[in-house]
Parts: sequence; structure tokens; C-alpha cells
Amino acid sequence: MKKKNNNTLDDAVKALKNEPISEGPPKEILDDTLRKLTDASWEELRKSVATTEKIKVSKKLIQFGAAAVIIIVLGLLLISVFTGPEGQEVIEVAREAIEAKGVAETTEPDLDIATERLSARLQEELESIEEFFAAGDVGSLVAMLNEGMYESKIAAANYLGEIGDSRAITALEELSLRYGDDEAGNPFVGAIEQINARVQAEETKLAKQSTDIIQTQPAAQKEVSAETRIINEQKNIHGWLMDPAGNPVAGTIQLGGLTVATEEDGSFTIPEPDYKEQNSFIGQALSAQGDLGSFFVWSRGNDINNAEIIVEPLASATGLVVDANAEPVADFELKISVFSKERLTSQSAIGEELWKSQSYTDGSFDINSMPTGVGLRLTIEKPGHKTAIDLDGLAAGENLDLGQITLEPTEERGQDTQWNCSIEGFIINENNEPLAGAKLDIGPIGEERFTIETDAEGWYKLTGLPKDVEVKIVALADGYGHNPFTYKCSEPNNIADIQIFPPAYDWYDKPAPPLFVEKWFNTEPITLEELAGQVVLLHVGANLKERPEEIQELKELSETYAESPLVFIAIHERARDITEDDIQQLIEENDVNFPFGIDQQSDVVTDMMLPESRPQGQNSVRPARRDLRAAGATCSIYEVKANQAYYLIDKNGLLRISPTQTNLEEWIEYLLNE
Amino acid sequence: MQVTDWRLIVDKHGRAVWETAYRLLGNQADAADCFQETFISALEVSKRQRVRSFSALLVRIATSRAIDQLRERYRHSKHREEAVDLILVPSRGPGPIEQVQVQELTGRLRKALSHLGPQEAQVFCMHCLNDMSYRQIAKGLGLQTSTVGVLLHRARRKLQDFLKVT
Repeated sequence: MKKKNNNTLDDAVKALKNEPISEGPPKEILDDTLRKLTDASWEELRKSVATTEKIKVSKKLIQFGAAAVIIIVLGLLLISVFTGPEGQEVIEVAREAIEAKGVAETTEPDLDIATERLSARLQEELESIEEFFAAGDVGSLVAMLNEGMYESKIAAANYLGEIGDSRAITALEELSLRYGDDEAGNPFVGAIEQINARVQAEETKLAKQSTDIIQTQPAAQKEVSAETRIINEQKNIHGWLMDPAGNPVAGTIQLGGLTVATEEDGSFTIPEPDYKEQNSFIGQALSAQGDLGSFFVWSRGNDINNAEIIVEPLASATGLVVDANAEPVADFELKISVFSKERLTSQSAIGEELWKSQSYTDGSFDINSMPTGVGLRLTIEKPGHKTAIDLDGLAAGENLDLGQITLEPTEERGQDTQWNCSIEGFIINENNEPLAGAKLDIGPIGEERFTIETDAEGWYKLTGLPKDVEVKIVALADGYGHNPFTYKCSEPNNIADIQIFPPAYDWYDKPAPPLFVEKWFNTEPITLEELAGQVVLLHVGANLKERPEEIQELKELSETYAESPLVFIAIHERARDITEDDIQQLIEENDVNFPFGIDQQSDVVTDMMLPESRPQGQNSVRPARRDLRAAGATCSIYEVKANQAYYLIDKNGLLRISPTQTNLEEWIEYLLNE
Repeated sequence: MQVTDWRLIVDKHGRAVWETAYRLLGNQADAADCFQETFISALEVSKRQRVRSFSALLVRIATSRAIDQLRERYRHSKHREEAVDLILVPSRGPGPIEQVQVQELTGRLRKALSHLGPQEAQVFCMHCLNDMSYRQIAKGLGLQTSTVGVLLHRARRKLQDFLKVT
């Protein structure tokens, strides 16, 4: 009855198409479906209206959302400055807007496929960021700016802008330089402006409060906002500015973003900084003559009635900047950061720069009028290069010669690197079938490393990759092992399928490569040729000590197929910490009864190995074949790409497939019935 | 947010979804499951992205659901008789023996389809059962036309092999 010609398929298709079909689904199914659809749809609509009423956020990119919120919050902030009593309420509304934005991002991805495919890591980070924001944890948010993924950085910047804490400025400035060309505008600049606006607003409010403040501005506000009322409760610090000998010095003091002048006798009054979460602030002082100065640390709990600030002679430094070949470098930028207790603070958060620098075309530089008193870090920068030196030993009044300073290239993190590349495509197998749930391990890029997974259709999308930088990627899938390759974006948007092959794919449908075995257990030495007429399930890369469970699974399977012409063979990988005696003992312990061999040293197959590179596809990337493995010759020739791999050899001795866990039994049945 | 009138969509495309499901699964109960799952999945998709063509989306989901179901059917009950609604087969011409032959043939094709990769099966069904062109399929699945060709070719070859050995 079985037709054995090529038209069977056409006949079958024809028969299937001609099969009569019932009119439609039973009425109860149809009704039930409709009810479910309309219920869910209504629910969705209700949620959406609730969200859009609060705020309209562009969903195309998170950046746009961030930018929009920054603008709105800025706007609201301004209103809060000018409307006074409603200030508290306005801030409440701003907070709601931020929350609404969060909702909008998660429930309405619309066009934003990138958001939809956010890796688990990103989601985790975004959640933490919201927690940090809720807790007012500025330190953690700043850490997120440095360590988070790109979207997290934007989110953190967004929230830091909202909080308006000047501690975030340094990190934000660095990011705004790095991501200067962001297509959505520079979200970090927005946050910096917002923080500055906030600090400025506070200064303005304070100006009204304290007549001692130099930068008094015409009072623009008549009413006092909720925030100002809090500041009213802040106290003033009273103290003296003096030289190391204790003589009073007249000059200026900057602390917490404010500048005051001392009286002739060196006495001063300055409002305490607005501590919020921060316990200490760095300030600076300079004598009226400009010859004495210092950085100082003001901590919460210091005696506010008896502050003594000592100014010392200013220091200077000189040096020569050279490249890796000891050639002088011109056109570099000098920056000094200040830190106490390992926390860096930007000069802009302290006050205006007191130090003056001059660099010359021959690579040399001078820095004059440097206050001392806290840790100083000199940063020398040029696009793509950066070197930082801690000026630990700098004493007051000293002229330090730093000698030759080699400007190091910033690896892959140069400021000229654009982080705007994306790749997307299918991860496909040897038959061009997309692999759902396959993974890509990316990195390390700098210190970052992350993993993404293909969706149910086998599609992946990688965004925020550096342009023109080789990125290490490993494609992983069940039964396909690890497939490392490198990728370099030269265009912003790239489409590339990643095609991965199962182990020993080049041997498919060919006589299976021989087994290289140093010692056999449970059998006399055997060859695959002797086993002709039977199907062989070969397990290569076994390790009884580390992964005994694999052998247990294999044992169970061998019991299932005890009556079938199916031979089980396992090859144990070579491992330094395991001897023949150990293996003998483990075989007994695990009650392994099928042929079991220890792999030979891999160099015996050196000549048999295929070239590593594969012919590349037109629109696909094909990771290279694997080279010799320390695990042994059989592991190498069978191209085991993970810990271990299975292979099925048919009755004619041909290697047919390296099955995955899921299709292993299906293939055994298929080959047994051939 | 796309506001979707599901009643209209079910009216308009319900028939095509039902035909796709029934043709592949061959019985009322499985097809009804598939029918419902297809629309619920389409609803989920429409929440996540704007759907430009419901007809393409629904056929795609229906096909892939039906093939999943076939795969389940043949994996879990290797020797189970395929549930075919015999009552629904009217006697129009072919005698009982031919009728059984035809049933056996379609049964084998369904089983063979369950052995294909998801995308191969999808492309094959859309082309051979729903009479969609390469371009329509490529658009519906977001593939290149050449890829559709390759997938179809592979599907045919595998199906022929399976039909020969089973």
C-alpha cells in the first residue's frame, strides 16, 4: 500500500487539501474565545487610558522618555520655584509623572522592540534603580552610572537629575563626554543641567536668607516654598580662616556650592551644607592675596561655632606627557579631582578652580596655585587616552616634578568610541532553522559582560555595541555547545544570522572517525568497524568524578534499550586530577556496564583536524570549528564543544547526528528502524 | 495602544484560522483548541506590538500552534491511532478502500510534518496548504524570500524522506 515514488508528497498534500473540513469551531468555543478576547482587550484599554492620562511619553526609545521627563520635571521645578506654596504639590506631581513613565515603559512597548528584549540583567538593574531612587540612595545611583548597562545609566541619570545632588556631576560629565553623539540628544547633559538648576535654585533661595553671602542676587521670589522652609532650619557655621601659625587670614571660603568672604579678621559665617544623604563635603579656601589656600573636609557633626580653616602656601607641579613610544604628546587636557575617603568629587561641585594649568606643544605642563589638604588626582586626557596620577605626596608649598607621564590608550572605552551599534538576526542551525532559546554571551567589553537569549522565533537583538571595536561573543545552544566568534560593527545597524553547527557536523553521513582510547574498561579494545550492523550511541567527554549524573542518565537509557541492537560507549576525558585507578573505582561505584574508554592525548589527531575557519555565509556569521582539546584526541576529533556530547552512528558505521537531549530518543528510534 | 475590535477580526479571519487548524490537525477537538489558542496568542502579540496584518499573523500563529500540537501528539503517543472524525468524511465518489488509503496518507503527512523544524513546517504549510506566495510568507515571517525558498526545499526533501520510510 505504500507508494515509494517522489510523488508521494504531492499526493499527500493533495489528499490533505481535499479533506473535507467542518463548518467552523463549535459555538461554545467560538463564544468562549470572543469573551476572553473582549475581556482582556477591555482590561488593557482601561490600563492604557489610566497611564496616558498622567503623561504622554514617546515610546520609541527609552532615551526619549528620559528626555521628556527631564523636560517636564525641569518645567515643574521652575514652577515650583515661582509658585511657592504649591511647591510641595508640584513635586508630588513630578514624582507621579516619573512613576507613570515607569508604567508606560513596561506596559506599552509599542514600537520599541529593544525594550521588549531587555535582558534580565537590565530589568534587574532598572528595578534596583527605582529602589535606589525611592530610598534616595545617591551613592548607589552614581555607582549605576559607572557600572550599569547603557539604558540603566540613562535611567540613573534621569533619577539623579530629579534628586539634584551635586555628587553625581563627575560621573555624569564623564558619561556625557563618552556618549556625546547620542542620537536622542545627550541625556546626561540634561541631568547635569537639571542638577545645576537645582543647586542654583537652592542658592538663590539661600541668598534671600543670609546677608553674609557674597553672591547675593535680587530676590526674585516673594513666597517661600516648602523646600526653602526646610533650609530655614539649617544652621550657620561660624569660624576663622588662619595660616598654619594661627594668624588670621582674610579671604574667601567655598562650601556646599556657596561662596562667602571672611571679615578682615578672618572670621566667617557660612550656612551648613544641605546634607541630605551626604555626611561630608569638601570645601576650599583662598586668601585674599591668592598666595595661601587649601581644600578642607566639612563633616556633619563638626563644631559649627568654632570652625578653624587653615590655609597654606599653594603647591605646584610640572611634568612631561609622552605616548607609549616615549614621544611627547600635545593637545591633552588636565583635570584635577579631589577625594576624601576614596570618594572622588569634581572641582565643579566644590567651587571655582583655584589652580591654573598651562600645557605646551612639547608635551610639558605646569600646574600652579594648587591647594592641598585632601587627596588630589591629576587626570590627563586626550580622546581615546587617559592616565590618572594620584598626587599623594604633594605637600603645601611644594613644587613637584612628576617627570615623564605615559599617556595610556583607554582600551575600547575611548571617548571617541561610539556605542551606537546593533546587530540582530536569527541564530540558525545547520539546516537554517532558527533556534529559540539559544544564547549569546557578550564580552567582556571593558568590564561588562552580559547574556541575551533568542526569542520564541529564534531572533536576537544586541544593542549598544561599540563601533569599530572587536567584540567577543559566544553562541550557545542545547546540543551545539559553545561557539565563540568575534564581531566588529562598522555600521550602526546590522543584520546577521549566526549559524552554528553541531559537534562533528563535518563528519555527518561519513564513516565515523575512529575512537582514540588509551585504556578500555568493561571490554576488550573495540573499534567502530566491529560494531557494524548495530547502532552506536557514543558519549564523548564523560567525567565520572565531576559529572557522574550524565553516566547515570546514559545507564538508564541503556537499560531501556537493553533488547535493541544499540551499543553504548562512553569516552572519559583526560583530566590531570584523575588516574586510571580512580576511574576503575568510579566505574564500579557507578555500576557502569557498557564499554568505557579513557581518551588519548590529543596530539595524535593533529593531522586529522579540519581547518578552524568555516566558509562564511553571505548574510550569516559562522563561528569557527574548534581546535585540539586538552580533554583528549577523541574529544578533539569529535569536536566536543561543551563538557560532553552525544553521537549516533548508524548500522552502516556512518556518523548521522550529534543529538540534543530533546531529540536523542527520537533519533535512536529512527536509526534502529532503518 | 491599538484598540482592536476582536469580534470583527474573528468574523473576518475566523474561517481561515479554522481551516488552517483543522487541515493540519484533522479533528474537531484539536482544531478547536488550536483556534482558541491562536486568537489568545494574537491578543498577546497585539499588546506588545502594532499588528499590521491580522490575516498574516493569525495564519502564522495557527500554523505554528497546529504543528506544535502535532509534535506533541506524535511524541507522547507513538502508537496512538490518529483521531480522525470519520463522520465528517462524506462519501462522495471514492470507495471505502480508497478512503482509508487517503486517510492513511494524510495521517503520514501530518506525522512527517511533526518531524520538521518549526520554521520549515511553517513555511511548507503556508505555501502548500494556504497557497501563499514566497513573498507573502517572507513578509509574514520576517524572512528573506531566498530563505523561504531554502526552508521550503529542505522541508520538501525531509518530508519525502519521512514519507518513504514510514
